[in-house]
Formats: sequence, structure tokens, C-alpha cells
Amino acid sequence: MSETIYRINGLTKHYGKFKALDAVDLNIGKGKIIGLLGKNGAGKSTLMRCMLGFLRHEGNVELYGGNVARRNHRIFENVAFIPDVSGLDDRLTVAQTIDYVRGVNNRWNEERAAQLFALSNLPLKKKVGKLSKGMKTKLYLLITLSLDVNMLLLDEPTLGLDIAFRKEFFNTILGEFFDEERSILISTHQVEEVEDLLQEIIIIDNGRIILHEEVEALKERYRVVSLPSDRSAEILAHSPKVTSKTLGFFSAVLDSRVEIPGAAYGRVNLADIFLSIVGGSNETA
Amino acid sequence: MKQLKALFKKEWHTNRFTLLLPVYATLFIYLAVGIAATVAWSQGVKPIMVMRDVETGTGAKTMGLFIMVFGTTLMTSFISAISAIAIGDNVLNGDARHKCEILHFSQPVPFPLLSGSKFAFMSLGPILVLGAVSLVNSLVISTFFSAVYGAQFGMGLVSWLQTWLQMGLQILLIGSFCWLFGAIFKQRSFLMMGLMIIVMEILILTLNSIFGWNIGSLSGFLLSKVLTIDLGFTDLAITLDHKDQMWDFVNSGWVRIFSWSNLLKLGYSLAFGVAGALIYKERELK
Repeated sequence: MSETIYRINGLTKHYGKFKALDAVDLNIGKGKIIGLLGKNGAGKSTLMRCMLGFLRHEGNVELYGGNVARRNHRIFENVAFIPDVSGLDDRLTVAQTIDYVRGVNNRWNEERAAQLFALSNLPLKKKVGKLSKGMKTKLYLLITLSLDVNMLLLDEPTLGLDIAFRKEFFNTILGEFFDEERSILISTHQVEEVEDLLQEIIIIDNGRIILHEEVEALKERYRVVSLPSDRSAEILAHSPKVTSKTLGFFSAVLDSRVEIPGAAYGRVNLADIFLSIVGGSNETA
Repeated sequence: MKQLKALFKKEWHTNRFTLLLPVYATLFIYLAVGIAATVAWSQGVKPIMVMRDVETGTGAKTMGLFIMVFGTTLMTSFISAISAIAIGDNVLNGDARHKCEILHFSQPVPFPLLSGSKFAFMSLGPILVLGAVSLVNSLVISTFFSAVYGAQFGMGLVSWLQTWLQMGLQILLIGSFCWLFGAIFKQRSFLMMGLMIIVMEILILTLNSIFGWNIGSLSGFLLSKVLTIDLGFTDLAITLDHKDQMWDFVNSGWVRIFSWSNLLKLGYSLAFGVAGALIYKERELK
């Protein structure tokens, strides 16, 4: 049984009258790469910020058994975070930013940092404010991954990155950071890019966790069912949340236990599952 | 220590221009004086010789040096106070303005170290810059006065030290006061501080007039007890040629510096600093 890094019970967060998180219960064990999916405004960023003590909240958030009720520097001895907005200090140069993060972190891994920055082409003397959005994201990723922490919270970490570096990041860099002691909670639009990486998936909607399951088990629970368009009623009888029409065929993601004579069955991807559970447009922010 | 160094370096990189305002202003004045002197010399004017003709005793000349160093240090300290006010707001709210609060709060830095480094930078930074700039000024002025008029060189340095200590404390107090409001208000803290004082003043006047109370004026208290400095020049009804009287004046300066009222100012500064830090700690990050 895996050791728990985060244990969250009844986490609720209000912004005025708006309930951003509603009695969230969640355990995150070590050695996991977990995807956090939800529509815009579903509560993903709020959840991560509560996990870091940035937001006052109701309920209980524990990190290695210690309560996370408010901002506390000890949280960041174990956790590193990349926010969904470019949060670097644009008054510093790239070199000053690296120097600053190295200076304040005892867990800065010089060897890994050298490897990571060798991969990048970041202009060290340039002010962060003058970098492109992609360059800023790259810098944030590299300084964060140079830290020896046990938990990474990545909120849309690859926004603005070009496709080549995104692939490098997901396929190589993140893999090198990860081991059986560390966990990564990652929220991203590019579900298809992380699909093969994720071991667990959390779906959050309207501030509630509506699914937390292992990816493989989830993929076995659902499948794509296709029938000729004139038999669409047989699929609609199972009330799918999302359907599609392609080349005379009508398809939907349904529970694997659903059997329809003459139907074709296909393996689902995470985006299909997300849409079938949450519904709505094909947007998983 | 490594963390503290990194925090100070970050503040230095982000507030360097504001911190060094007194240096730029002084360099500008030196440049202006240099150009003016060059032009004057080129036109045959010799202002130094004209001043040399003034017939006074050594005591008066030394006192002139004392006052001259005092005046230049005082002027520099005004600029330092402006830079302390600006830095006080910037160290607390600059990260939010530049949308990088999360980066800085996502580091494993104990809060007392984080807020302490900001407060120290805001207060000690301008005081040290003031000390360095005014020391250079006082050395230049003292050298000139002693060489040209025969004034006592050391008295210029005494004047510098006394004025620097007195004004340094004042900068600490003003900076801490603005720091407190910078912690309360994320935006336009200086303006909000002014508004808040005005609102409180109106409230006090209203309460006094309605209930016949006699609550003292807040701004009056701040101006008379907190922000004013007693420089002792009002006692200077002396014939300046008497050396003993000059030493009395210097000694009374030390008495004023190491006084209860200054200790109280130090206490106010620390109280403002701690209160500001505690308010800053409770900030929620959006």
C-alpha cells in the first residue's frame, strides 16, 4: 500500500457566495502521476492553491500528516508548484531568477539543473519580461524541476510552449524527474499528450471530485460504441452525454457492460471519457 | 544565511534604482556645480576668493562647516526618505503588481526571514545609502572648509554623524509607517494612507463636536511627536567664536540623539514593522 502524501477531507472553498470547492475528499499516494481534469472554472486551480496553503479554506488538508491551513514555508520543502499563469518575476534576468531560486532552496539539485538548462536555449542575461511566453514557461519548468521535492503540482505547465518542447517535457524531462518516491499532479489542456503518462485521473466538476480512478481501469470501464446513423436511437437509449456522427456512423462512449447487437466497439481515450462523464464542449481546462 | 543573501539580492535587483536615488541626485548636483564652476572660472570669476575675504573667527567658520554639512545631509535625507517610502511599498506590493507573488511565496523561506529581509532592505538600505552619500559630501565640504577657511575638519564629520543618526532614525520611522500601510493596502498604499488619516481626522473632529470630547488630532500627534526632529538650532543664540559654546552645542546634539523620544521613535518603528509583517502574512494569494 502506497504511503499517502496528501490527505484531503471535506475541503470547501468559497469566493464570496460562490462555492469553488465543495467537500473535496482526496488522497494522493507516492509514486503516482495523476491528471486533474475539469472544465474552466471547475475548481482545479483553487484545489491546487488550497493544497499549497495559499487560500484559506474549510475542511482538512494534510501534507505528510501535517495540517496545511495557511501559508507555510515547510510545504515547499516537499512540494513545488507551477501556476497556470506566467508567474515569474519580470524584473529579474534569467540568470538572476535561477540564482534566486537556487539561493532560497536547500533542495536545489545542481546536477539536474545543469542537465536541464543544457537542454534549453534560454538567454541568461535577458530580462524575464522580455522573454516570449514559451520561454517563460520553459524557465519556470526548468527551475521547478531542478528542485528535489516529493510532490509536483503543475497547473497547465506547458501553456505557450512549442510542440517540440512539450513533447520533450512530457516524454523525457518529466520522466526523469519522476520516481517511485515522487508524485506529480498535473492539470493540462493537452490530455492526449499526457495520456500515456498518467496512472490516475481525477475529474473535477463544479467544485466536486466526480471521479478518481486508475487510468487503465477507467479505460476498461468505458468503450466507444458505433452504429449506423439510422440506429442511433439504440445508443441514445443509454443516455450518453456526448455523441458524434462520422461518415454515416453514430458513436458514443458508453459503459463497457452495454452490449448492442451489431455495434462496433473501440478503445476510448481520456478526452472521450472526460466528455462522457462531464459532458459539454470538448474543453478540458 | 544563503537564503538571506538570495533574498537581499532579489530586493537589490528589483529596487536598485529607487534605492540609489540619493546617489543619482548627488551626482547630478556635483555635475551641475562642476559645470557652473568651470563656466565661472572660464569667465574669470573667482567665487572662492570672494568668500575668503569674509572676516570671522575659527569658531564661526567651523560652525559654518557644521551647518553646511548638516544642510547637505538633511537634503540628501529627504531624497532617502522618498526612496524608503517607495521601497516600503514596493517590497510588499511589487511582487503582486508584477504578478509574481506565487513564485516568491512558493519558496521554502521562513516568514520571519522573508518579511525581515524586506523590512531590513526598506529601512537599512536607504539609511546606509544616505550614510555613504552624505559621508562623501561631508568629506568634500570639510576638506574645502578646512583648506580654504581653516575650519576644524573633524567638526564636519561630527556634524555628518549626528545628522545621519538623527535622520536615519527619522527615515526608519517614516519608512515603517509607510510599510504598515503598504501591508494593509496592496494598491496605492501611500494615497490610501493619506485618505485614511484624513478620514480618521474627520471622525475625531465629528466625535469631539458631537459628544464634546477632547480627543487629540491624529495628524497633530504624528507631526508633533513622531515626525518632527529637534535639531537644537533654536538654542544657538551664541557668539560663534567661543569654542566652548560650540562643544556645548555638539554635546547637546548627542544628548538629543540618545534621548527617550528617539527611543520611542525606534519603538514606534519596530511596532509598525511587526504590525505590517503580520498583516502581510495573512494575505491570501489569488
